[in-house]
Amino acid sequence: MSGRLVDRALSRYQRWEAQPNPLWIRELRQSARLSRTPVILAVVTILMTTIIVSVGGAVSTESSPATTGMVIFQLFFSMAYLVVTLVGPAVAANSIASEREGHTWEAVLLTGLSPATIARGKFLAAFTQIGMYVVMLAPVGALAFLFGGVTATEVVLAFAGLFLLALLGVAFGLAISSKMASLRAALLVTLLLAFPLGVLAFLVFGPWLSVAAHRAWPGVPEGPPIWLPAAYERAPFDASYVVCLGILPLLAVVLPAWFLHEVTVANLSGETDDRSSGLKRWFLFAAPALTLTAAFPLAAAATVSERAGASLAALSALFLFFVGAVFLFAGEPLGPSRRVVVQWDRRGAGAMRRFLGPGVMRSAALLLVVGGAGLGALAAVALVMTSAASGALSTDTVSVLLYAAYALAFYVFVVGLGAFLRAGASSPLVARVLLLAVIFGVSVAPWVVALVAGVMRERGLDHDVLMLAAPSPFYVFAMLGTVSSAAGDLQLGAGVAAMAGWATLGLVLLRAAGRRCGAILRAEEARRAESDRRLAAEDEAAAARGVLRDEAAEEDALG
Amino acid sequence: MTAPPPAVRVRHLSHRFGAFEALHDVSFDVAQGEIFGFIGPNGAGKTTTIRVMATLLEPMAGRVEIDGIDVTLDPGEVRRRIGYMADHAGVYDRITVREYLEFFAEAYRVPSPGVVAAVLELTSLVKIEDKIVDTMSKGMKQRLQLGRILLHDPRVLILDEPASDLDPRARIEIRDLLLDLRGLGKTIFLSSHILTELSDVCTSIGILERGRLVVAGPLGEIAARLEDARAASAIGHAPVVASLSPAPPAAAPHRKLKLRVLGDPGLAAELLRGGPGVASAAVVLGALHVGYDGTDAAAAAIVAILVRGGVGVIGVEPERNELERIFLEVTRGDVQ
Repeated sequence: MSGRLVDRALSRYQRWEAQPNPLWIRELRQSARLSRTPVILAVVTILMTTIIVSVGGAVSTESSPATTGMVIFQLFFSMAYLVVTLVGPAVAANSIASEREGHTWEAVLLTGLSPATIARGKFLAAFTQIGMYVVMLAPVGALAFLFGGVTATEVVLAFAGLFLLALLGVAFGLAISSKMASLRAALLVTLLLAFPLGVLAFLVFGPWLSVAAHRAWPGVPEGPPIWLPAAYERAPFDASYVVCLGILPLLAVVLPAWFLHEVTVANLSGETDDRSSGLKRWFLFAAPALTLTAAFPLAAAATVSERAGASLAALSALFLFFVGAVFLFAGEPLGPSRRVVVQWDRRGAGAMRRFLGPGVMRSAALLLVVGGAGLGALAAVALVMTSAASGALSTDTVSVLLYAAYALAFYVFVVGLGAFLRAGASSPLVARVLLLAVIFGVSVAPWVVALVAGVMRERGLDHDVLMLAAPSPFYVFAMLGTVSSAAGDLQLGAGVAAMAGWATLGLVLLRAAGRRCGAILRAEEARRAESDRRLAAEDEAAAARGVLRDEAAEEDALG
Repeated sequence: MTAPPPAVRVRHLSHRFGAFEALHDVSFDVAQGEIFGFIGPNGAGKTTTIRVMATLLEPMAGRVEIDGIDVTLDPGEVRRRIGYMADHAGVYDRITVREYLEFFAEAYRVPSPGVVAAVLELTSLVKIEDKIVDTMSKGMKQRLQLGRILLHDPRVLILDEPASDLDPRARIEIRDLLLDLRGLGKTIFLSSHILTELSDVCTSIGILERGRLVVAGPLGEIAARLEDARAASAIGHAPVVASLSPAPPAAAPHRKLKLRVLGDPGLAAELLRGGPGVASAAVVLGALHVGYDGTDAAAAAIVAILVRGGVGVIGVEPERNELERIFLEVTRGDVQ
């Protein structure tokens, strides 16, 4: 098995070496003739050098060389991070949208290059360009090492991280670009999203996470944004090293990169092609991976209350991921197109391949099974861990149980609603907007009703009135507050009734969606069969006319 | 012996964009080796039909086959057999003619050096193979586009308005190139709304109006059918175009002839005025312009009158060419 994989990888590499991606080569040629590229590279390098030298010089007058080195290191890589997270997506955003705007896209598409090959070519071209920026800046970044305070390994690791960030940035820009028809729109949307996301990621994965890293490994400095290279070098090699510095960073790069690649490929494929399988394969991998990742903080929590809190946070995060997946698959077609079915038949596609193909009900089933299993598994782990520490019916255990049950029930509703809306909506956008509106409505409206009722009864949000908010998923937090109080039975009862209601409604909507999709697909199939029958009848008539003509010609020839 | 399948077969093709019906039950065949002119006003549905044929749009109803292959079911195979040049197709900047063709040759997975050289030769682009594409004239860019779609040696060329925006010289060059390609056995599907551009090269035509096919077939056959229909109409049978299309019957055709005669054309005009079927006769720039109602037989009668009257006729030509005449007779001329 592994031998076969290695052989396949080797043959793929040899093919790649012999026949490099034509889009990549073409874009490199075009870039090489762009006179402004070296100018921009030189300006960025000079600017960075000036800033680093100025700050380094100022710091060195009052601090030790080691501190100066550390400051230069943090400053350089923070700025490089900014350059990569903005320039990478911008360069990539330019690539596909410019083909569409320049009316060259269809010519490329008709060459028979697969969307995946096109996406790879575009990715390589943009990545090479942003890679040139990083390489040009490398000597400036290496200055920190000369001062001390950081090791050569840390500098090398930081550069490796920069390349990985460039990879994600380029993949992000490509995904946006693949959806956009105009270059300006692609650039605008990419930069508007890349800037806040980049800043948020910098703050979360930088200073904020460095605090946790410092607590876990005191050798890692607390506060600076670029702490990961130091952690790789200074943290003791044990299980937490493997998980936190090996598996988790790997997932943090692989999962979004794979997702963005699949989004790009789906956007580049035709509307009636199979745009679903890739994203569903990603979802099948991402769901268990994220479930395991979400379970990790539970094991790391030291106290019972920390463990319960971590369980609720993990369940919330996983719930949000699965609800996001519902939005992702709300763009599915009602069923596989004729083209897709023919391709499946030709290739002898198995049941699993077909299950992962396009179709609203297929997606709903996948979401229900995988999401339910993920939430259920995480809930089970959380229950086992909290009950082992605090007893089977402790407040913490019951809280985790209620929280997981409400999340699961509401998730069933969201899946059913998503399928139902898509089955009736004219476009994916309409289905997604309606889905968002309904979720927002059911989350907020019950609270408004409860508030109005409280005001009318002049008693505020007391227990009786609070029950009116039970249909809102946020009511689960109110339920958690009453777990330990005897007066909360009624409130808990209302919450449990709401859970049962959401789950039932979800299943009813799923059934309705199934019927609706079935009816539409059957009608389409009937229309197609009628059209085929009509064409076949015409073919037969034409063939009969041909035979008669041949016979007449033969008779003429004979007689 | 069975006849080869048509190069292009469009059957009961319909397509909608929202509430707008772009195509309604369009059916026609294009035989192998033909140059088929696809004619219609802007917005008639030409480009929609072409995009379906080029596998870029899946039809809502009907079937389209290229070389017997269904474009919906096997788009990959169809793409190998067609060369599609879109209306206003773009080219890449900062790349030379040879590099441009090499890129597409690699993308089509064809052996590059020999094929690219052959295409450069065929399209007469050898002399400018190192020129940057972006700096070329429109005519040269169109030539390059034609070269691009020839790289993988497709059997069917689909060209959407290939000569639009070109100067007269470039148009003539493109037309000659198309005739050369037909000589190489290619089937050419050519869309345009410039009739003079098509009349010199097309062997068959299809006329589309408001998403409906008005008429399709070999040019001579359509002209003969119109002539027959006109003759039938003259003796009180079916209206002129009823047997050809769902379009409403046109008024009795008023046609014009341009004659060059020996001697005084004014005298010739006098001779014709009041003659059978002659509606008008005037001299414009030394040529005799005669308006008449009727068929080709009426035109022959006009010439006969002049000859009988002792006027030497040295040239007779219709004021409109055959294609223009057919187009005007079978379409409504509604603004779309």
